Amino acid sequence: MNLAAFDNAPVIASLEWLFISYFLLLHGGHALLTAVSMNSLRRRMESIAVKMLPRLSSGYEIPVSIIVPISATNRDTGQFVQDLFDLDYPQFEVIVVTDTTDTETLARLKSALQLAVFPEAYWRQVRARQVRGVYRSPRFPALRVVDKDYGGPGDAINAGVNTARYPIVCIAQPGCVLKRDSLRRLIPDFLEDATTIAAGPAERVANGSFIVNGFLERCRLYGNPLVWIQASAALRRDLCARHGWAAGNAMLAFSDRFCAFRKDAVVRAGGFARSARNPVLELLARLHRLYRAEDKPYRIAFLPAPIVWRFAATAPGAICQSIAETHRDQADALKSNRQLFWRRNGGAVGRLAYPFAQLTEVARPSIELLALVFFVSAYALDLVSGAHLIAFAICAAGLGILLSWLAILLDAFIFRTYRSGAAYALLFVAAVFENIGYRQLAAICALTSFRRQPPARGNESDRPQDRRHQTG
Amino acid sequence: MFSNFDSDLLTHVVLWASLTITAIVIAIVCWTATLRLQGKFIGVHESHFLRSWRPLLLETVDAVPTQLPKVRKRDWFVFLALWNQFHDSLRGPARHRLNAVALRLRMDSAARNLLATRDTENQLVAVMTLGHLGDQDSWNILETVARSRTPILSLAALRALFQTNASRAMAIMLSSIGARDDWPTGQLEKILAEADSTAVSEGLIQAAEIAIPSELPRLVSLMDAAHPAAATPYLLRLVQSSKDEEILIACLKSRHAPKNLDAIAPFMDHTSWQVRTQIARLLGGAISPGEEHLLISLLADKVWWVRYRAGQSLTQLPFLSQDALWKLRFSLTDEFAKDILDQVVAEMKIK
Repeated sequence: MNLAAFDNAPVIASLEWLFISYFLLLHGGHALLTAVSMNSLRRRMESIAVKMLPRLSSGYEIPVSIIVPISATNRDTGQFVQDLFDLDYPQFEVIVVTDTTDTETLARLKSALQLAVFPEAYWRQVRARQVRGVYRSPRFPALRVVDKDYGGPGDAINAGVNTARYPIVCIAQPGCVLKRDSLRRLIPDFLEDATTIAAGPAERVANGSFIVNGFLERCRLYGNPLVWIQASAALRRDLCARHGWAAGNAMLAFSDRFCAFRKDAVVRAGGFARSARNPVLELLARLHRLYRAEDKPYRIAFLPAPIVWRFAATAPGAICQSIAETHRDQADALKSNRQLFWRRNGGAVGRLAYPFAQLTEVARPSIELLALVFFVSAYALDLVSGAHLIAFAICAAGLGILLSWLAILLDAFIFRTYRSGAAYALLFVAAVFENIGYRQLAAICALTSFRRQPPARGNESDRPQDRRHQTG
Repeated sequence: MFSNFDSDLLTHVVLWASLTITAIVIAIVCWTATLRLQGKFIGVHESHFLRSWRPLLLETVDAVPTQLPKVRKRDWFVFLALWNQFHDSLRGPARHRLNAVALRLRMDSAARNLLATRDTENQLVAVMTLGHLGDQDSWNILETVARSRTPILSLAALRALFQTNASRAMAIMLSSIGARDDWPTGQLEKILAEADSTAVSEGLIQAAEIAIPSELPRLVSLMDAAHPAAATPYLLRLVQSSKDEEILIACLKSRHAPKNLDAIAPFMDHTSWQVRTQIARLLGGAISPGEEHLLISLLADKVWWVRYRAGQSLTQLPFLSQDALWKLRFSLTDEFAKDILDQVVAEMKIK
């Protein structure tokens, strides 16, 4: 075969169209999703008079069980747990689950919270590993600490669900930063719409913010440009993508640091997956799948307002690891619920959100890097014109910057997360570097996620530890 | 390099697609910015308006002010929001004086105008105002709103109807209740609790007598707002005659559930764990010394909640001393019964 005679122009042209179409689909999709979500965003711009109207839900708040799963990586959680009791909400309990192999975590909690062994008759509704003991504190009557064998994050949350007494379970990961009214703002969706089975918020970056008595008082931007870039990326992800999908009840991800589920829905679904890397994301996709399969009405709500914050990593290595973990979690959650894709009565989530997420979240790092390598090398070899290279740059970076700016402006106009205009100016600059440089490096980090060893997890085939069958 | 830019299909597609996306983004930004600016101006005006009207309405607590400024059409909403806030926080004659102020300012007519708009918040404030005023002329329009599909508006209108005429409103509520799954029972109880309990009792019991079985559990759960003298005998009759599990659970959950042992003891072995849970709860107030064995048997139930409620009832028995409870704990042979009793005793100590 004469390779010299091989006409590569159709192949090059096809690849050009493929990559350009991908970026147009990605950014066009996000722009449309933002437009779709505008109606619900508008409702959040309430006037003073509207805020004065008495809430019909007042006095009927649903009691909530807050589950705090503790792993070996976050041992000093005593203060976090104590702060939770200052949340502004009429009725809630806190269930701390220690999911470790060591005894040090429990010992620290015992001294911080003055715990004593409590003879709790543990009710097993969903699978979880052996509970070693339940502890309570005379200082905090609404607190229970469940000490259990190590089984992974999903197993820990399941143990919390088994202990929970109230109809709504809220997961609060240690280290997340809340406002005093965070729970009060998260729960109303369950009351306003009886079909709501889960609700989760957007997530903002807390680095540099004023935190008083464990609660965020004022949001500021910390002086590290890497934090600004992560803050800009978080705004775009939440306001341009997730909120749009939520408008069509097709959202597949929200913050796993602070979110709430209807307990009966969790129990019906069999609890959180014990082998999942991110059990919250996995359950979210599974709930869509199960409710769609049974053709039952349901709603998964998303709260775009800032009610939960996280501390973003500041060192490049830690950022890379965090990106890889996030990417792997999302990919796993979608993979384990692949039956959702294009199923009968799949609705917007099966026909649009799921394939869109696969294409723009899971496959994105590979496609972005391939596109970049292709266009740069093809231009260097004179196989692609300068005009096409510019067209690619507009599609890949230009439109990305535009959408990041849109998310920042929406936050500035509607939520005003940051009080100073300077913070928003910094975010504007950060958005440029987010799309030129950060995203490409993030794609490399995301690809390394598949090479990392998964942590040891609980075994799905564990036998129930109760001797009798429990109903209800 | 750029010579073929215009003639190239790919660059054309990119150009037009980028322009379209940019146009969408600009439109969103402009719309949001306009809303923000509008909100800011409205906010400044509203703050000014509220600063001048709050002291005037505070004066109304003692007497109706002689001089009242006119409320312009653009301020109807904010005035009525403030007026309703005062109304909900005051009691007795002060409310009558607030009504006098609203009528003098012709806010009844303003509320009817706001109700005619398509904005939910306008309609909500209007409905609340007409309810507080007990405006008979608006009965028909309030009834229409109460039958509308927006839960928050229809509930507010229902409350307004109850404030105007409880007996007539009761009939409207009962005729719609079967089809209104979106009316939370808790909200209905709240509305009924504000109304005259005699009218509520009569209406509920009459409706329950003729209700179809699927509607009965909901009606029974509203009986908490009825007068106990009327509700308890009816619930007792229902407990003794009904075979429906849902109805039975609703009856036993009620605040006015029968508490005599003869009526509830037959359900101790009921197949539904929810029925047994309610029985375990009720037995605590129904048994006499020497009848503790009834609760002790439920401590060994196969369902956690039944065991837990039985344990709670046992620990709350006034005639069972700590020593007796301790002896009982060591006499138990069932491991589950021991565990649950340990838990409720420990909980009692914490409290």
